[in-house]
Amino acid sequence: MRPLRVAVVGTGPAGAYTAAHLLRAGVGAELELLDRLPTPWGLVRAGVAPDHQDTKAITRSFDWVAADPAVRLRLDVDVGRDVTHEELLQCHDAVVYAVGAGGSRRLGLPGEELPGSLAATDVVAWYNGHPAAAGLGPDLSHERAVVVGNGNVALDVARVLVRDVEALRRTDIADHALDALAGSAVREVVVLGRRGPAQAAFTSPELRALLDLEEVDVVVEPADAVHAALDEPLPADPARAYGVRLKVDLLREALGRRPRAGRRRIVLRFFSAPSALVGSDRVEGLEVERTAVVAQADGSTTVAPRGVGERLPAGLVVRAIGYAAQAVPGLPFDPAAAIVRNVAGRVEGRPGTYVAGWVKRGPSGVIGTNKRCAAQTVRALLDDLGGGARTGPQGGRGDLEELLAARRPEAIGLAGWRAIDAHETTAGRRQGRPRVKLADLGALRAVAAGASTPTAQATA
Amino acid sequence: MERTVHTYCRICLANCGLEVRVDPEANRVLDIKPDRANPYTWRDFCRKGGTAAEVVEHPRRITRPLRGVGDRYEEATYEEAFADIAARLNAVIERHGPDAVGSYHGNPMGFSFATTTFWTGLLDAIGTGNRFWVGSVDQNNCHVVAEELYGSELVALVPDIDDCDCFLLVGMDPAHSRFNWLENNPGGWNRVQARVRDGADLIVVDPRRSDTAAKARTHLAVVPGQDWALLLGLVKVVLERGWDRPSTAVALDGLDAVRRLAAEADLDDLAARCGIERAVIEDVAQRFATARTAMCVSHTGVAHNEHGTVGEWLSHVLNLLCDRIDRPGGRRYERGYVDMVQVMKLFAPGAEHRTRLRDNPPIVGFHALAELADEITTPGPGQIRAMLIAFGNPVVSGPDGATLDRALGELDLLVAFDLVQRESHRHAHWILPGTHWLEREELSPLLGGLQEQPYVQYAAKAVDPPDGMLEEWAVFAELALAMDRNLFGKPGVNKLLRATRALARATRRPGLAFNPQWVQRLLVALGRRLRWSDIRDHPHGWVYGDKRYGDLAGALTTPGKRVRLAPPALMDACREALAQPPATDERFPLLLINKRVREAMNSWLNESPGLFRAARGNVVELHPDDAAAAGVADGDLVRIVSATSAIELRAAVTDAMRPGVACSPHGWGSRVFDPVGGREPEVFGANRNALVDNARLDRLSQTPAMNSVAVRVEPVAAAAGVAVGHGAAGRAG
Amino acid sequence: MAYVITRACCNDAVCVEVCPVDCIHPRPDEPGYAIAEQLYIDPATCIDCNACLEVCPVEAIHRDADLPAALAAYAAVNAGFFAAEAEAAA
Repeated sequence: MRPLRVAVVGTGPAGAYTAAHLLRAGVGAELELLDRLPTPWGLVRAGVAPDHQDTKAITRSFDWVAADPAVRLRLDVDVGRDVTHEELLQCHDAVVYAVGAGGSRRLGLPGEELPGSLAATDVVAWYNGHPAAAGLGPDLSHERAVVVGNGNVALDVARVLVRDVEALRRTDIADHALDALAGSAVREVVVLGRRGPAQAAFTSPELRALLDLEEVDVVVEPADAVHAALDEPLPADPARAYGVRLKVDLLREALGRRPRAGRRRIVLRFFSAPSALVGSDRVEGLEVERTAVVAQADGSTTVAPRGVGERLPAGLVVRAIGYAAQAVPGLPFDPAAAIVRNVAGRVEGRPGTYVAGWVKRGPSGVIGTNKRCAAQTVRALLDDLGGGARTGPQGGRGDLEELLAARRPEAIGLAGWRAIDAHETTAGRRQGRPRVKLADLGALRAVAAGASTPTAQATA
Repeated sequence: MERTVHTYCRICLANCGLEVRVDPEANRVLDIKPDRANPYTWRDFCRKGGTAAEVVEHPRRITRPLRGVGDRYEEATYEEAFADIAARLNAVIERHGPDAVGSYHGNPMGFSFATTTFWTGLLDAIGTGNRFWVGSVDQNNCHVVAEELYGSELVALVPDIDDCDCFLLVGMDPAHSRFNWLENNPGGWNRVQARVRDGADLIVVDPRRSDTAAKARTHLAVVPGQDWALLLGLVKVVLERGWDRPSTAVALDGLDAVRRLAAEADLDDLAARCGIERAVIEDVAQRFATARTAMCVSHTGVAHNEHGTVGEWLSHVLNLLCDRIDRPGGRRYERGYVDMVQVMKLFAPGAEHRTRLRDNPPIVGFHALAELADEITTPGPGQIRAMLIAFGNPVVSGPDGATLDRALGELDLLVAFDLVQRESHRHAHWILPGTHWLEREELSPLLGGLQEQPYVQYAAKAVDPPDGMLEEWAVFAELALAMDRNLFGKPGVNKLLRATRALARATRRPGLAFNPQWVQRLLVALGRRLRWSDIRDHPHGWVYGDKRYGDLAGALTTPGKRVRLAPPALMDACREALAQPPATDERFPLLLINKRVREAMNSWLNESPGLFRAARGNVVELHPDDAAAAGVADGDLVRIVSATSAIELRAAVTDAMRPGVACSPHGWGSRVFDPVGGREPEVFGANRNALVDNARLDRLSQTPAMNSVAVRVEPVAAAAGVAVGHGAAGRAG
Repeated sequence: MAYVITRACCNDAVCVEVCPVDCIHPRPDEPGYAIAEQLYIDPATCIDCNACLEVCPVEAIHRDADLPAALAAYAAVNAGFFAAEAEAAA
């Protein structure tokens, strides 16, 4: 039987899991994995914090997907610019978008545009060596930075900003970030949460890891309000309650700690909302208001200002209040939910087009959550096309390759990616690091080009 | 309505106690869990047992006799099957003699005493000496050593884990095998680790850093096939340093001969052969010999090699020299509850038959699978023209499957007995359905001697076989009756069968008809240790006594009841090995080894949906240096080429491998056909045993060198690897 | 004795698929999975078979006896999940 041809756009966890599920289905799938960047695996490379190398080990299973004989990796190819959606449909039975959430949500506060005010997504991309963020250069000259938000990304950013540089030197953090952090004046990062500890989005394992850091003190504020909140009943939903209980226990323990002299510190400041970023030509601080969490009749909570404010001087304000998916040209988009309109992964009104991951369900969950998400999309795809009922596209792999040869001859294949990977890991071994990332598009392309052309890889 | 049945798993020798929930009305298994009330064995429970009902309800299961008609199969009645098969077998026997009927049986049969005994009954009825079995591709070396040293092929020595201070584990990976092979040590691997936590020494010999080796205090990454040289080195050091403490449990003959042999060997030469530094050998020898208690255990990693019997022998010698046999913390003899020597006399009388072409004797009553293909294809008197294959898959289990497959295609008659039609049954003229162990109840007395503690469990049945299906012992009996040849080859047996059946019919008491339970009850009674009713009164299994030490001396059947430490056959073979320089072949620079995989049992569960959920299929593991030399990266499709054949697999590049060694597990690449439904065969992975030469054998055990196959690895062009339909690669070229 | 899932867990859940005794929760088909911080092993059911550890793509699983000191708290974290479930059910 003719193979089931699927193009997967985006090679982050959602895309990689989509490919893995398609290969395991045993339907004879032939897959094209496309990514805008010269390197695959999305946020595993560009999002997971460099001091969480164990998590990055997931890429070994993704590398196996890429090496599958039925798979072609096509990196540094921008769908929409180099090849259109319609053109993909002409040579695939299905196109799955797993492009993630490239944007970030905004605070909507005065002063947010000032230099020194950054999105966490950009800071994360910067320290992880994402080529687009290499020039971000966050200002680390002030002794205080503020992270607005209470998720794991907020904790990641706070931790990376105050960790011992020698510890970071053993990771794959981008060299430009390492240099900047080595000269950083930041002694304190305040993490602002509008709500209380019970509502914090960060997870207990991340909090525990933070509390376990030898070189950093963690301070919990405001002590009285947090103490009171820790004694409140746990959420009724048992699945949620357990994580909250663990966090409450950890915070209770943290409240009892005494600061140690000379340590950098992270202040977890709950019940605090910024109302404005202030500064004349750059961020000099932000106005922070105390809040109270008010229970609603339906069991949910809202936040009410308590009218007590203060100015917190800071040279860097990082908003870590969430990633947001951006519209995919040609696909129906729900701006409120920031997702492509879909039902179980089927894009509304676009037969043969599917979504998986954050662009499908919004930016939530951990790496593995995308596995279940991708499985749902693949089930839908196979229900539609797997039974041999498909009419089939006009073109095949050859047509795609012809098209790319004309429009994007420098596209990078498996051999190119392996050359980059080998280059980075070899450099890493010399320095006792897992890898030394290339953060420059030109350098990445040059190393890949040294290996072989994508066409050569496909036919070698 | 549901019911809970307590029984045990009959997939591997761990024999885990099971709690099986069944729906009796629907005759279906609802779920299978470990029976935590079993006093002895359930802690090795794995998904093989947990998903066993998937095989009972296999979508391709054969439930009626199938007759091959052209290239398809038609259902037939048992009467038709027995009549046709009997007539064709009789015709072959009359024309060409009984040896023209060959037989092969696989591992699953070993877990059914009834099936085994009546299989022997049928083969004796036929009178053939051309009996082949799966043991000849793995465990024969143990039987040869047991016979030579202790006088009986069936003496097994069980590791006594909880009192052991020094474990020397050679060619085994109990993290996956759960410490069972020709012995069962329930929870054995975890108990070894507990001992290690309490300070015991753990030395693991394996070319690959297996999950077991990763936990060792010392991992010796031996050159495949050269374990014997390492063991001889250890024996030499122990003797020459005066660390030996001859056995206090048994009397030894031949110590001086072993001393002479050890003196002849040069330690540097042995070290070079096995790839382990001399100083390391000396250190390990000292640790083993001077530990309070210790055991050396060698499994299939040693067996599947040209000098596998020598290796197994030397592991016994090392144990005997250091007083590690039948002593606490060493390897113990468990006498079981039946008299093994008597059982052997009854069921495996010393056969005189020799193979026609290579003139080899049988081992434990059976010839070597490696010889089967030639015995079928080489013309002349005694050529095999009909084969009975019961619960076996020799094309995949044995060496050079392609040659055997062609041979099976030339037979006048091939009858397969199994639950599904497997690779080796593709040329079958008849396929007779087999029962699943969840559908059978019985006692397997021979397993009693393989237990770490005195233990017995009656295997209860969870569900009934599909309507109208006969148990295999009955099928074999019916075939003997239809052939009009006395079951067991003993005059009067068929008459007895018929008479008791008539009595059972007349009295409406089915139990009065001769059946395998008669034999089982008789053996228990003759053993005079246990009562049948007591066994039946322990549905969760029964530890019926305390471990005893010192029973081996009484069980020896050697002259003078002395252990023969230096049997001439083994001394000669060892000297031969010493005289023979290690062979290398530039064309095939890597040695392919095998490994155990917890969810795999040879070739027969690979398509079970509940198994291999993480990854279904086998790969070839390569050291990074070897991969780089071959131009291969992690995950690439590669071709593995030996002098015999070539297969394609994906490569997993890992520094767990010793450089120069490749590893791929067996049992894969076996098709499961759909003779009734006509769907495409299912197949996963590739058959690495196809690469194995069927002539390069360990002379003593007749076992192929499956664990040291010279191969090379080549990259496979990516485009050519797309195993999907036409036009897939299209214009990519 | 039991195995323990620790910080690096990314809810990939391949461990769930290989566990012979269904002692790893929440499974992807269970309601709590979507918001679970990590997966947990029930020490009362675990039979120490090592299957989960072998397949974990991020090496988040350890045998309790081999737990690194920095992750020692996770033994109680795993057990506590099931205790909390039992409490909620009671």
